[in-house]
Amino acid sequence: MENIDRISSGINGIDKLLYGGFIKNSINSIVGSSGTGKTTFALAYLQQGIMAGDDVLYLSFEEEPKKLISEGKSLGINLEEKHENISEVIHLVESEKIVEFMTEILPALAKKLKTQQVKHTRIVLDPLTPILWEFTSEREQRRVLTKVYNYLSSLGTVLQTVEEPNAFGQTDIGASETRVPIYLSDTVIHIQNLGLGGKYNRTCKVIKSRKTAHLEGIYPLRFNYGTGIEIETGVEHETSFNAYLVERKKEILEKLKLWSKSNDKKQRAIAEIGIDLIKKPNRKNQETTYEIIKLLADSGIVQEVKR
Amino acid sequence: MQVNSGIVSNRSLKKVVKGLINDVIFEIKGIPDFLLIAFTSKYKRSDYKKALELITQETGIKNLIGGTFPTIGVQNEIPTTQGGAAFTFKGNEIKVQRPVIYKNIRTKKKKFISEFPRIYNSIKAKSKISFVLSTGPKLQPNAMEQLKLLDSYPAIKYQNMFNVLGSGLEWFLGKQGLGTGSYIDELLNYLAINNVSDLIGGATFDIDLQDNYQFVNNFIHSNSLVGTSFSSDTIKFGHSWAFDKSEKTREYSITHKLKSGYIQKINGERANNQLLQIMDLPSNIYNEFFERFSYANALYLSGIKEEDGDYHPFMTANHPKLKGVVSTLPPSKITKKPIKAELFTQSGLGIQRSAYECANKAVKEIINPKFGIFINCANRLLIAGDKIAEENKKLAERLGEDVPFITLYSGCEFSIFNKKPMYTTVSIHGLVAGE
Amino acid sequence: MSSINRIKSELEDLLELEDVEAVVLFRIDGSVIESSFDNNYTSRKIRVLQWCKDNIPRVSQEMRGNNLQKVTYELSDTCILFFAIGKIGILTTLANNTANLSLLAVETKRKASIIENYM
Repeated sequence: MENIDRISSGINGIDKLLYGGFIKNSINSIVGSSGTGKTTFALAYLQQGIMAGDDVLYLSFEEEPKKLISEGKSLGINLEEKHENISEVIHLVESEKIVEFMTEILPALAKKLKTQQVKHTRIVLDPLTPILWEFTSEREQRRVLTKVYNYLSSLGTVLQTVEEPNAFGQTDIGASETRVPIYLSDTVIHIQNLGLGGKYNRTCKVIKSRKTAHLEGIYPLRFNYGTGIEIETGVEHETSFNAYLVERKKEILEKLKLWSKSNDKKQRAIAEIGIDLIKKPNRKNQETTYEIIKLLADSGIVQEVKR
Repeated sequence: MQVNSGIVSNRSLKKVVKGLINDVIFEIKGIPDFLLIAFTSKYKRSDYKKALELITQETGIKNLIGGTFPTIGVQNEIPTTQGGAAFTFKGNEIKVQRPVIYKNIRTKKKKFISEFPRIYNSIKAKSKISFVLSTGPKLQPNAMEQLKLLDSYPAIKYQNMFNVLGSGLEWFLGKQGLGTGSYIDELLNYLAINNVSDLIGGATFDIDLQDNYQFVNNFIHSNSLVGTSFSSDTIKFGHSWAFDKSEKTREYSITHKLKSGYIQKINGERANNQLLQIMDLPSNIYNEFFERFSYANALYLSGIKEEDGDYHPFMTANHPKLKGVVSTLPPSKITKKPIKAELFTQSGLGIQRSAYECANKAVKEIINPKFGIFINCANRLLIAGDKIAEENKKLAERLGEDVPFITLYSGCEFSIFNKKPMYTTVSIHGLVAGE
Repeated sequence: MSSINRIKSELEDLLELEDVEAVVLFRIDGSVIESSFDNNYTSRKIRVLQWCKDNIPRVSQEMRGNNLQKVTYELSDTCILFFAIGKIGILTTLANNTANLSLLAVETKRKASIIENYM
């Protein structure tokens, strides 16, 4: 929404589920078991960052950069084409260096970048799971991650992938392996693959989203050449009327109440219509209602009306 | 000959109508010769009116009849309880009479009795049949309370007097559009005497015994009868009926009854208790289950054995508030003598079998069926529940997979077979046209 | 209209039927795909819905294991119809205890067959 700075996730459906994308300088987690498409999410996020002109940093804790680039290519995410020095953007952190990297190198790097006042950076941690294995107690995980997240979120917006345990086909998002990153994240997106076929076999669900409303429910997800992943949300507009109201209702109502006491006749008329529309949203004419409220909230337009 | 039928289900009748126009009626090239429109019975009267106006306006149809029913089915689809269905045809082979309407049919029968046979008898063709839809059962909210009077001692002792009082009350209620469907029995007998040899029909119906409507072109009526006749020199009209008589259980004797079909005593004992005993249904369980419903009853199928060895089915309705039993016995079958009846057990499979039997008998002399119209009891629908589609599959199996047909789940079903009137409930009546 | 919106519309149709209080399309693991409720929220309804959500994995396992197309639960004041939709969905209709279950089952089955096309 207008009052919160957001960035596109690179996946249109996700932006709709979150009413406009990830919140800038937030920590976002993609949780899913093997083969659900977590890395594809991360690559799409990276591609979007490059296209938006952001600085980008991809920290891989498992796969070689080359492999990741070719994985992206197979889904139409051609990072080499979009970034001249893509191999400098994607870094592999070897498993024996993870502790050192997380406790020393990464905080130092973040501090340095911050002093250099780099522009908004998209940071990917893929997957976070090997880091969690290095810090077995939840308390330690929390201590390390809180520190790292503080540094990273001051630089930009973080997307991390978290492996969901999968025992004999039964996944468990509440398992101890995922608990701390979920707890510390601003947004958590759960992706699933039930292995039963059909549209609702692979799905995506926002299970947590701080500071902003999000669409409830599970939404079909499919791999798509070009964007990597496509999510069907059923939302035809960038933001739905309900979501708009959830976030702006109070704010708009306050503004309209002020206007209703104004000396300006036009302002009073606008307030009367607006209050009526907000209190009795007409389901059949959602689009029109949405447009009218959007107009009412736009100070430029109000000025124009007044003129 | 072009024939088509289809269902559209939606909470909005407007969407239903648009769907029916585009997907069913417009599939026929040119203005259809006949259109049967059936809507489920929970929409508003004003919505039906708008719907009919839209259909007649968009299609230019002049021969539309229809009504409201709790459920409607067509071939190859699960019936709908929220929507509508259209059945339509066009072709030189069949001549369709301009639809007629008789308002206040419960109380003003004269015009119908004199006019309808005249129209029917003026049709000269090798094969002809009338198709009518008439208003079905509609009761007041406190109907069960009022019926308690019929359990009183004077009502049992002075049956003749109560029959006279009853017919007066029937007339009074009939004027307000209230009553059962038994008036149709009388109409059928008159038509048969006046040489209407073949007819098939059903009663428009609401499952909660509330408003039901009849349609002619863009007019909507309640408490009326609408009808038309089909005739042809090349197409045959076969029709038949059947009911689920697969499991006969026990016999009983209706010893005290009124012309209205109210059964006061069975085997000389209060009918409600006696029937429950015959059915082996403990009264405490039955009372507990039905007490909370104002209308819902234990509905059971019985049959009167006729001279030809066949059975005439009727339904009995027990209600905890009553000592007697409400029945759909046709008034013409109610004599002073005790009536021997037998109890039947209905089953999902029996319903399917009887549907097949009805279609089978209707197509007996037809090699190449073109279409079918079936009037099926809403009670059979309640028994079949979500398996109701299986019944229509049986009809399709006999008619041919691609033969369009419509099934109206009605308040009562009736026919005249070669001048023999048949007013029944818990049954299926079917018309099949073909070569 | 997207298939998600079509599903939503079918659920809203069911909700319009007499005595129906809520309609929820669950995935077999208990996740809610889509839902539709009438406006009268009561603690009873919320309790029953929670009960449904908790029991969907078990009910769906039974339904798949025994090839059941429909399962009906009649609680003291609520009737619940579960209809299997393909391998992955369970259409759940909550109605009050005066509902005509036969008629409700006809329409729910019809809707289940329509929704299957969108899944």
